[in-house]
Amino acid sequence: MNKNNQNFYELLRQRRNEVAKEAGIKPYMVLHNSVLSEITEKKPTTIEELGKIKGMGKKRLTRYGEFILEAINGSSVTLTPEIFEEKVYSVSEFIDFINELLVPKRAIVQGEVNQIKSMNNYTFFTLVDKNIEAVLNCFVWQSKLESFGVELKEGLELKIEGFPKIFKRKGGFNFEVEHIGLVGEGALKQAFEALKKKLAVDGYFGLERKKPILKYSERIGLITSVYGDAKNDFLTHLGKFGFKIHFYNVRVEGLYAIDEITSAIRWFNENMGDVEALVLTRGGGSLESLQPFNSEAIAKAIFASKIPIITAIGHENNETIADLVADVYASTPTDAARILSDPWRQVQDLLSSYETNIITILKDKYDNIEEKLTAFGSNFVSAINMVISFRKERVESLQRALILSFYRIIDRIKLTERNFLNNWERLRTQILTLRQSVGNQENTLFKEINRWFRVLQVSLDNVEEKLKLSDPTGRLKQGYSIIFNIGNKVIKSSKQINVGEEIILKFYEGGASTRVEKKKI
Amino acid sequence: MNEKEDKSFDFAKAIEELEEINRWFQNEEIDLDAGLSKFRRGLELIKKSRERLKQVENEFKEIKKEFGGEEILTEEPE
Repeated sequence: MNKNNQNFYELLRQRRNEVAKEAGIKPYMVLHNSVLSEITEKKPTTIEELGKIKGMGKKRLTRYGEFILEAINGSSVTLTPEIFEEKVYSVSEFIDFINELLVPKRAIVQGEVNQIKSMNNYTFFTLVDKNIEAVLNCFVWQSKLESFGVELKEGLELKIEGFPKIFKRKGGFNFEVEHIGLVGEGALKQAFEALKKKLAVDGYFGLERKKPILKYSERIGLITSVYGDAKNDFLTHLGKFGFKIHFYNVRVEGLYAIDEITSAIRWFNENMGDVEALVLTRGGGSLESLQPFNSEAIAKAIFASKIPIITAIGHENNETIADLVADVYASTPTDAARILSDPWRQVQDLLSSYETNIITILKDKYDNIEEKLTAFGSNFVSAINMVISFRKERVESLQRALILSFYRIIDRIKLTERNFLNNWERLRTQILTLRQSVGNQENTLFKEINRWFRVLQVSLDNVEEKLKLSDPTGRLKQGYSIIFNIGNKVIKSSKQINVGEEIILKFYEGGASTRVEKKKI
Repeated sequence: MNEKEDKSFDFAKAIEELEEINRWFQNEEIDLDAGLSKFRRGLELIKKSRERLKQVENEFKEIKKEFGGEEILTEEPE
């Protein structure tokens, strides 16, 4: 930088610092040093020209354009032609001088990887255009390469970000790569799968490593872009529960996103250890736009964070490495907000239920004791009552049994009666039949009786005649006599009597007694 | 044990303690004296928690970060 320019640069820098002081912000937030040096270089004289300077957005143009142009136009130094100073540089000095100009020319270049030469901790490769012959010598530190999870291969299409630089030792012009992005779905997918596999082996996704989110988190670190919908979605659905939100604005897309996000995570861990949860979020997008979240650098930052991290990246179907490493993975920014706020939503009910619980339980227990006391008193009575009722029951059951058997007996009597009536009918007919037959017999008897009577009369007459004939008195009439001894015994033989013995004679009429004089044998 | 009205009321701890008290009350046999003191503590925690829930407005602060973008560290391969 020649002296004129150096003076002008210094002037511009001072003005910038004053403006920053007035606004109460950091100087780099007004204008970056690299922008200042570009303005110094090109010395735009109009707003239009100034607008073409890289880093001069519309906002900055309206805010700071005036003082810059004032500095340029008001400075007579700038309008004088450059005086070439005869300064002699050493090689090293010259290269330093050139590099001072080159290094701020950061750029993003897209091309195809051609030749690769890997050393221990760095790699040289060339980037070429597809059809036009043009070669860019690139240099990348191995650690950078690894953190992007890109494996260099010939023909691989890349987007690289970095700055040009001449390497002193070999004098070669190089593009030093600070960020690498893959181009094309296929390559991205492949890189994603490879990194996923690697990190899985290294234990990045292990559930045992996941930190729990406090149920009632209050202090939250929000890492997202100030411009994205994700921020608003998250804040809207968080509800109002007295959260203290510390918002850290980062780019969520492009090659710078990785650095900004990893710095943000580191920043919270180093400066705000009392934050209870970090929310890393962005809206949905293509695999390419989500690329930062599939980088090893972000995976490592999430893994190393002492503060638990909730990721909500893209739509529900977007799976990123960051999600896999995160302590909690929310499907959307809204979901992340719910994870943090739902416990607060539900705790109101929980408090009410605890309140009713402890009040009613205490009351119940108290009532219980009262009940027990009353129970003690009434126990005696109830014991007796129990015995009585037990006895009563037994008596009653006996009574029931008795009644039952009584009914059974009555039933049997009834049955017998019924049987008897049935039989009685039968017997009656039998008797009637008998009586009839007896009547018949009687009639027959009456008819026969007269005949029998006569027969009997005749035979009786006959018997009388015969009897008359055998009557001894009849013989006496005829003159026969009967002799008895004193003992009234009929004497039929002389042997029955002795000489001198008195004997009695019986005649038909009267009798006589005499003495035996002589016996004849 | 004399807990004054401290400003840094830990809501999560309060809810945890309430859970504990609630669980204690679910036990079959409870001591009535201990029950009364736990009951009082429970109601106090419920009251405090409800007060915390009344502070609904969120605070939002953007972090002003100081980028290290000013200096560009360059080193060369050996």
